[in-house]
Amino acid sequence: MNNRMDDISREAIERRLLDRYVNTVDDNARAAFVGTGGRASLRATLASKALGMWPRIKAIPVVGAVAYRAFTRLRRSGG
Amino acid sequence: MRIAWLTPLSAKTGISKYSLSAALAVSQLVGVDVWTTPREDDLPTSLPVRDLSDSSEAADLSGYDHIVYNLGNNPTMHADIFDVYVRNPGVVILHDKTMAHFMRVYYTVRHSDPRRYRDLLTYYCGAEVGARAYRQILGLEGQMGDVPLLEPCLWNAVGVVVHSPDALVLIDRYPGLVPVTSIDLPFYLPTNSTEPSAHRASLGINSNDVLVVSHGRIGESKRIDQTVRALSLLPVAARERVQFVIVGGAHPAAVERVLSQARALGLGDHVRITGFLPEAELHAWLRAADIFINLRFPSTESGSGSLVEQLAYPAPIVVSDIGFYATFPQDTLVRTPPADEGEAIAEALASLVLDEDLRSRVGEKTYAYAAARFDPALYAERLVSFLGEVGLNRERLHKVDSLGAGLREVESRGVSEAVSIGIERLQSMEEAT
Repeated sequence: MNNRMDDISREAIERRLLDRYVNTVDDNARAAFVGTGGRASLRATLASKALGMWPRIKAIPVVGAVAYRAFTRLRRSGG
Repeated sequence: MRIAWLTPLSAKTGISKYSLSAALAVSQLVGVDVWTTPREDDLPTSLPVRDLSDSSEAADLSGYDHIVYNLGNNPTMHADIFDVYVRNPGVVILHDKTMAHFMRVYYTVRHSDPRRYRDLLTYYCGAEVGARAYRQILGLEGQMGDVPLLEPCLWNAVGVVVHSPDALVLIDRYPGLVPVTSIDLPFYLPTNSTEPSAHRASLGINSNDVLVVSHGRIGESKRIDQTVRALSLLPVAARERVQFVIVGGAHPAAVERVLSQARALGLGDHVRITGFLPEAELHAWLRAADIFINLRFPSTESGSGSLVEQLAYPAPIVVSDIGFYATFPQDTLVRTPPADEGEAIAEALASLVLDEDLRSRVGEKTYAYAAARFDPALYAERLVSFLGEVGLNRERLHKVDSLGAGLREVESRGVSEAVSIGIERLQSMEEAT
């Protein structure tokens, strides 16, 4: 095996570079690059936070029950 | 050469067995340290074992010539290893042909980061798949579809190993730049396995019974339903002699479904499910088996650990003609069409159940073929040779990867252009030398 690049396609190098970029940059840069920034990104951030907080929310007796009913209604309506 | 071998050792995953068998064989040629997150049911090993969850030890990985990551689609067993992989480039041994379940759980549950999961899916598979997956993880309708999502296991790999040639096309994402290879899984045999004949009676198998064994965790792709149906289609003389034992666990609902199907077909006394068993008991069943069944559809594994395990015993094996199973010569494994609903399985089983000589002939031939192909020493030789190739390739891969480090400072809209400029610069430097 030699150390030259002649036998490697431009496409392979490009893919490697972009894959490494997408997997190592911060969340905002990644979202901007793949085109999921803006409103979609905001919804994703909120959903992400909700998922993280869900165990604590549902542990509160009354609030948990209300939140659960609201979430179930939201699921049924497809919203 | 010193290797850090990152693997689960838990008896609950088949990957541990093969990984350990491979590491032992490789340690005959080069130095191997096993790195794992210790669990109560870890398989014993004579190799040095280091604690992956001890962050003070993790820094020591820099002292190795190669870091080898054993990755599979089970987040419980492999998330800790993937955590290390994203920080340290190394050789990836990919045990499954899909990592979809692993990636979903890894990003959305372990890291509470569904946004990153969606963005990676969008990048690798397109906006539609990303959006579908996102709705799925939020508990709304939709399925991600049949996306294997192996790519996140490749971007920090300096070499990739799979266990069947048909998996090579899935992982050769950077042809010529990152070496890839297919190496057969090595045999794994527990040191405390027992003799077969003495134990048939204690397993509740009569001398006239023909013991058909399938093992591993019961899942839909293993086609247990179709196998039970096939038993009901056997000629009476064969059906009366068969004892079908599934050595492995499953969700209680899946166990009940299989058993009630057997009862409904009049096979209640001929089908048993043992649940998860310790290694010695598992191998007592494998040693006692007259015939193995190892069906798979669809085929999602890079190789098949359970098949290699069965191949260590001289009984014929009825398989699906797909993936890893299709790499065997025609006169070894007894092949059936992958989507068969029972008829072809019954036909294959009938002749084996009724003809003891046929069982011996096919079983011995398969065993002899497998003994040569899955010899752990052969695995070690091939893997060490591959690591040598990875070492020789390291310099030019480093040239590319270090070019990518500068991209993190570039505005996202200028990344594609920066990549083009970087590649042209790299190529002009090559021409100048």
